[in-house]
Amino acid sequence: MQRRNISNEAGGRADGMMIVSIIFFATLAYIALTTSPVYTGVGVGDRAPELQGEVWDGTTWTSFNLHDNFDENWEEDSGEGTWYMIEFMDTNCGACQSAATKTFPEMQSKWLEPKGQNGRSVPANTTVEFLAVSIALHPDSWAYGPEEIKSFIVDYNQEFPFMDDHDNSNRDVWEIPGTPSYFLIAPNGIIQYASPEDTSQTVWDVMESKIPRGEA
Amino acid sequence: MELDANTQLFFHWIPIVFGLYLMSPFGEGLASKLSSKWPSLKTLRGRTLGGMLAVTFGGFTVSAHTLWIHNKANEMGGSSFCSADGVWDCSSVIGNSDWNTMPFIGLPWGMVGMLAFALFMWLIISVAKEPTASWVLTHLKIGTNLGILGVGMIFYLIYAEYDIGKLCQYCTTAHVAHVIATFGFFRLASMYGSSDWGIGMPKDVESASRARKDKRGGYVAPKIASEEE
Repeated sequence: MQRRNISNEAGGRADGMMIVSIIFFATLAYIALTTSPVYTGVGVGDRAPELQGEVWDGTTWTSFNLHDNFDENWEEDSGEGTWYMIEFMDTNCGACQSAATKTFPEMQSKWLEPKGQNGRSVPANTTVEFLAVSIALHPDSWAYGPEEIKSFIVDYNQEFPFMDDHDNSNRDVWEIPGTPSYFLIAPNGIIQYASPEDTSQTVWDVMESKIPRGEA
Repeated sequence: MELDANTQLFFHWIPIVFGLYLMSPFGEGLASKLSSKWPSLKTLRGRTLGGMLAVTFGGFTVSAHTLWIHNKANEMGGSSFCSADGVWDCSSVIGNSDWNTMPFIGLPWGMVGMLAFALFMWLIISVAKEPTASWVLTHLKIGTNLGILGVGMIFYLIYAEYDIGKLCQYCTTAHVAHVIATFGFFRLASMYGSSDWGIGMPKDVESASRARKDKRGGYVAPKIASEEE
């Protein structure tokens, strides 16, 4: 006759597993239900990744870190804060040169000189900044360096700071597929527009719709 | 009334301090009071396991809280949920994107802590429930090895705090719980097989059973081969 297996050695382990699993998953459920984390990435709704380097502001090279300028407690209807339009470009790229000639003169006067005749009104405590990040698409064949950036700014009459990213460190983090690529970033660091994932509209259209208007 | 982060941390320390006290020689009195409900606390093994369970539970809750802060920091900014008083500044550590996840795997450290303490709790509960089972030694070995691995991670995180220039009180609490739990596993491993381990029942119950056996005059095994003939 076959003996009945009366071993109960698995009981302690199974009981323990059940107790611990209940505690673990109940805790995890609580965390999942009470938090809604925003992850760092380069898509719309993501927190913008690090963007830092030396920036030519027209007179000197200074260190710049985009994250230092974010206000994580910013609220959408507060009428405050600084919006950033980031352009990843290459000083040698034809499309970037074309944009610098055809689009930027108008947009500079519209967004960077809001009090001017062509300026778009924004609330009193809201500002808009442009930042160009000069990357190197073909580091082995095209000319790069700080002087290239300075010449580009002068030649195309660009009125905003340019970051030297000729080592492509920021380009890699931001996963830039080509130039020019545009991003609009809200004052809290959340990406509102990313041209690599949205070609149906331009960054200028999104700026028009997202950035609040001031009193006329 | 909203409690600040340091006051909330106090609640995680309660089971840790309780567990440490129970594991220490000072906890004998407390254990004998509690033994009416949990008889195994009368033994050193029971006290150690009970204390370790409380400590690891504290480690688990503080890890879960750390994960919650990590998520909230991503959502709304770290400074809102974690106090920043001088060198004890958990927001600068938990909110630091360079250091707040495990290398290669990318899991937040809070989640790593939750998994580790959950595993510890399972090892402890199963050993406590069946101290004479054949797998007990394996569980104790897993516990000690995991403890050593965790201590290595603690050193890495201490380096991270040094690099950031701030100390995270939540992380430190989890580290303390881990070190105590590791010590507990080593203690249990050294206890295993000795008289301190017992046979799964308190000493007085054990001696009562022996006395009963003697009275009945049970079978006495021969001590030398010649006695068998």
